[in-house]
Formats: sequence, structure tokens, C-alpha cells
Amino acid sequence: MSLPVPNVTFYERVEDALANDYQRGAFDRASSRFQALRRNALDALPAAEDIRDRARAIRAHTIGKLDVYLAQFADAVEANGGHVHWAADAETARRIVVDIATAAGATLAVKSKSMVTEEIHLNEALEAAGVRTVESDLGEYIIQLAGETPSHIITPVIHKTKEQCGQILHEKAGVPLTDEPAEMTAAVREKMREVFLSADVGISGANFGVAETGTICLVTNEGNGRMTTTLPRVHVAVMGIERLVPTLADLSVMLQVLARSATGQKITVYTNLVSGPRRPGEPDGPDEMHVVLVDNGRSRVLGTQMAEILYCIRCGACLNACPVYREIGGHAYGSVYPGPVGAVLTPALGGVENWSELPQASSLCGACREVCPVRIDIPRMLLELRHEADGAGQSPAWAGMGLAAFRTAATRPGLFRAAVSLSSAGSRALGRGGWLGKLPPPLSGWTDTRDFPALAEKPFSQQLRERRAEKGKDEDGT
Amino acid sequence: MSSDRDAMLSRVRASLRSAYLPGALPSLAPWTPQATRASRAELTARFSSALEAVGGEILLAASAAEAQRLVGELVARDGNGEVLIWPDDELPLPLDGTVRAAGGRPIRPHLSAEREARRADVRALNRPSLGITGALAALADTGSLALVSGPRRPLVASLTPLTHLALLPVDRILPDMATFMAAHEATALAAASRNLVFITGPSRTADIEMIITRGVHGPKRLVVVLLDFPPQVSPRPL
Repeated sequence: MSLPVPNVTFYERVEDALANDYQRGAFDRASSRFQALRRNALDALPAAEDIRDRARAIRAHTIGKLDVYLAQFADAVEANGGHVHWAADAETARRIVVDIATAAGATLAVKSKSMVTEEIHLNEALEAAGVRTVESDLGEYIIQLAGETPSHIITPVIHKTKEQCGQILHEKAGVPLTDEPAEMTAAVREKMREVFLSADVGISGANFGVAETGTICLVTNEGNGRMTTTLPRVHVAVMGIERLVPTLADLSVMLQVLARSATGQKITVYTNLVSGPRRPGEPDGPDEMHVVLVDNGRSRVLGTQMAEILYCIRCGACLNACPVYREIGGHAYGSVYPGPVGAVLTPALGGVENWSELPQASSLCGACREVCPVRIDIPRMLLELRHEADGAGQSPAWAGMGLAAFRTAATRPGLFRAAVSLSSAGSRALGRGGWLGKLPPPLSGWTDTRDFPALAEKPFSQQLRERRAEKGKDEDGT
Repeated sequence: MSSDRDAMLSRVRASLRSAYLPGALPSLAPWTPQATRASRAELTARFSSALEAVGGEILLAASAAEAQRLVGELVARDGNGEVLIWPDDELPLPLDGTVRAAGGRPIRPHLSAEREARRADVRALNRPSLGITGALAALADTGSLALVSGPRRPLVASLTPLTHLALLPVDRILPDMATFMAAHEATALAAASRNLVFITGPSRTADIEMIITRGVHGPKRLVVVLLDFPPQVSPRPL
């Protein structure tokens, strides 16, 4: 199994998430802000739609020739003086990184934010081998101190208030207690600088790998990506095998949509292109550079109807756009990859039998496909996965019963009309101001956490009949 | 190991036979991004406003003397003795004397290959609060500086200090990254040097409640001195 499965069910996790009023507000506020920033950034980009089409074409083409580009990339990394490691699964990837760190005599490793290292649970393995491992992204650092996991792939600590962040930094890292983000940032700068200066190994992910030049592209706003790849003697970049683009020109296309889709910036503060260890005579940079190519289920996903999810560039736009993510937040998904992309990628990588609920966590509204910079058809794959789960006997029993009841009513017009008018009368009798606040089980599953609109007094079919009659009268009268 | 490589590549090849990849073409059609034609003055204005929009500062120098005066003032204000600085022949304008006259001591880090010595070197380069560099190019549409590493171009000077000062001749401002990648034969550049970095404003985060804070791990201030006169020293070709 390539992704660890949580021991609490999806529905229990969702209940927990919905009970946390601060989190719900925070996800909603952050998502709205990010969406507006993204919209403005793309509106200001001339020919944004053409660039998105090109970005999609680049990713689709690369994945379609992944064997060729992987080989080219690996050769180029080696030509630059880097070492390439091929990890079939998470365990192998962990072992490779631990071996590199141990061989370097490392007691301290500093990390810049990377989703694939979360996926393979690298930190635990390094700690177990006696290598203290510190996350250097501010949000990731707070999450690490709190012993939690990220709730958003771009802003991992979005579920916490500044007061909570201040408290965690105070209790776990000895930072003077404050609820001012500027003071927290200044204190963490000092603490983390000490880590950067003493770390033997820097571990990063990779936003992109460039096949023609063997270059790793890392984008950060804080500068931790550059520190990680410049100061320690050894740099290890861990990347999923699908993260490639063919050329630097292709990379520049991807960079035009990545930051705009993620945070609404035109470009991140630091776009860092690293090609191997330092060259003869270069005054800074690592003496040793490793690239760990992680498969961990990706080559299997490539052979399926879900291969399109490998086009993803991890901008997080689909999280912000998703009405389900905005309510339940990242943790409820139970996977390092939350939101719409996670609802496809997690079962695709980890097996639909282990993650059958995630594809259900969507209204299939299509907002994710709309905002995706590379136009991935996430709803199509969610349906595909639901179908697979159903075939494997993984659909919830109530879904079948509900559909059977609907089928019975919908195929008998008299029964359907009676049911509609009964529900309408009932809902209006129970409701206040057009909304139902509390319903008996099983309908309480809905109303425990949100209101339900009362049904219209006149059903649609009746309104339509009356309108037609009205129209007919008008036409007759003239 | 080559057997691991072969095994992974064959798994990928086997899967590609049944992969459903909408939009995947066997080769990418040529792509010419919309070329923006703009005068030097327009590019300078666009670069300046884009950089200022992300919190960078622009100082305009119409002569070498003015540029040196501006640098001297910054050394006096943001320096703390030692200044991480590129050698004069890597800068568009000699600054060694300027830094010394303003009370700064130019230092040029070189990290040792040996582990313990390297640790001491890393600590030493962390002391200066001001770093001064040139720039290979700048991008007008995003307000970015492009810096490339080299034997005499330590990129830490743009990273570890609290203030990063960069000197930029205005004729190095290009419309955008696509133009840069074409104009600078980026492939050769990437092959010849370890690190190419685009810097767009001071270091920042919005991790806590989306409140923007500057100076997280990189510089808190980014100052660009725009040199609007012909360069006195031509940096060596890359």
C-alpha cells in the first residue's frame, strides 16, 4: 500500500471538521481571497487562455513520453555532476534518503516544503535514523511543532489562528509569546538561520524538473528553498517521476500559470533553478547533489483512466474553488493530497478500495476543472473512480437504497406528484423563513450542520403548466 | 543503480501502452509567445512599477558618481561592517572603493570543500547585513532580477543578508522570462552554471492568517540601483 490509510472514517473526519467553526470560517475566507487573487492575476495576463492551453499541451505531451523524458533528465542530471536514484516505492525512497544522510555523517537535515516527502513520510524515517529533521517553511515549521499535517498544499497552517500559531511557537520552540505574525516571523528567522548554518543536508522537493538541462526548479516566497539548496554541503531533491517538462522554454510557460493560479502572484519571489552541485571554482552551493525519483504508484496510475491527474502542477487552485473543500478543509480528506486533486490522486495512488469515500466528496460542479491551469478533467475521473468503487462493492448501501426509492417514484407520475406535494407541504410546515433548521433522521445528517431550503409551494411542473396557460392567453388576447 | 532505472523505465513504458492521456500530442507544435515591443524607457518603467508593487525599491542613477553615492549611503545605513560583494570585474561599476569609503569591508565568501572548514565559512558569510551583486538581466513584466552563479559570483550575497542591493544597467531589462530564455541561450547557461535564480522582491510569507510579512529567510529589503548610463566595466562574457 503506497499511502497510509487513516483509522478514522471519512464521515467521522468530516463531522470533526464541520464542528470546528474557526476552521470552517478560515478555509472559506482563505479560499475566497485566493480565488479573487487568482482571477485578478489571470485577467491581467494577456492571452491567459492560450497560455493555459499551451501549459496543458506541455504536460500532456511530457506524460505521454515520460519514459523518454525521464531518461533524458536523469542523463542530464548526471552530466551536471548530480547523482540519480530510482525509488519504486515510498520505503525505497526513504531508505535512499536516509542512506545519503548517513553517508554524509548528518545529524541535522533542513527541509524546504515538499508534498512528495510528506507522501513518503520521510521525516519520521530520518528521525528514526538519528537525523534531526527541521521543516523551514514557516507554515510547515508550525505544523511540525504541533505534530500535525498540512491542511492546504500551499498554505499548510491556514486552519490555525495567529494566536494559536504564537502559542505553538512559544511552547514548542521557545519563541517569546506574541500574536503578531511579523514578530513570529522575525523570531523564526533567527532560529531557522541557526539550523541552516548547521545542517549537513538540505532536502527539497521539485516543482519541475527540466529534461534537456537536468535542472530542478524550486519556487518559494520565503527563500527557504534557496537556503536549503545553497548552504548545506549535500542537497537531496526528492521528486515524483511525473514532475518533468522538456525544456527551459516550456518551464517558462508553466511558471506563468503556477504562481498566478496558486496565490495570485505573477511569479513567486524566488524561482530557483538548480543544475547539479557547485561547479569547479564556484564559491557557494553544495558539493554533492542527489535527485531521488519517486514512483510510488505513479507508473501504475499512468496505465489507467486516471493518468490525466499526473498533469497536475500542485498549484492548489482546485482546493480553493471546491465547495466541499471550503467546508471540510484539508484534514478531513485524510491524505497528504486534499481537495479535488487529492480526491482523484489519493485513491489512484493508494487504491480505491482504501479510499472509496474520497471520490464521493464532490458535488461534480466542475469548478475544479474550470480553474485548473492545465485544465485537468477532475470530475470525469471522480466519476470513473465512483464507478470503480461501485464495481468493487464499495458504494455505500444507502446510496443504492436512495436511488431505488427515487427510481420507484420517478417512473410513476402520480406517485411522484403526490410525493412532491407532500414534501412541499411538510417542508413548509416545519420550516421558518423558507429554511429548515432541523429534520428527523436520516435527514438530520444534513440539518445537523446546515439548513435546508423549504420546497417551493408550487412544484416546477405546476408552475410550468400555469405559465404555459398564461402565455397561451396572452397570445389569444392580441 | 541501472537496474532500478531500467525497471522503472519499463514500468512506465508498459503503462504508456494503455494510458488514457487526453490532449497528449506526439510532438509539441512550435510556440511563439506574443512578442512585446517596447522602448527602453517603457521597459524601465514597467520593471520599476512591477518590482515596487511587490515591495522592492528602485533608485535611479544617471551617472557613475551618482550610483556610487547611492551605494555608499546604503552601506552606511544598512551595513554592519562587512559587506558581501561581488568583485569589481563582475559588477557594471567598480564599488570596492565606495564600500570602503562608506566604512564597509568587502568580503567574498568561498565555502571550503572540507566539512568542518565549510561550517566555519558558512557562519562567517552569515554575519554581513548587506549583500551587493550585479544581475545578468531583469524581466519587466514581473519585476524580476536574473542572477547566475559563477566562480566569482556568490549567490549567497543575494540571500543571507537582511538587505540585498543589486546594480542593474537599464539595457539589461527584457520584456519577460520567455524573451530571457531565448536571448540568453538559457540551455547553455544552465549547463555552464549551477544556479540560475529569478528574484522578485524581498522574501515574504503569508502563511499565518494570510497576513503578508517580509524578511522570512531571505532579505527583508531589496534595493535595485538602475544605471541609466553606459557601463564603465564590461562584465566578462558568461
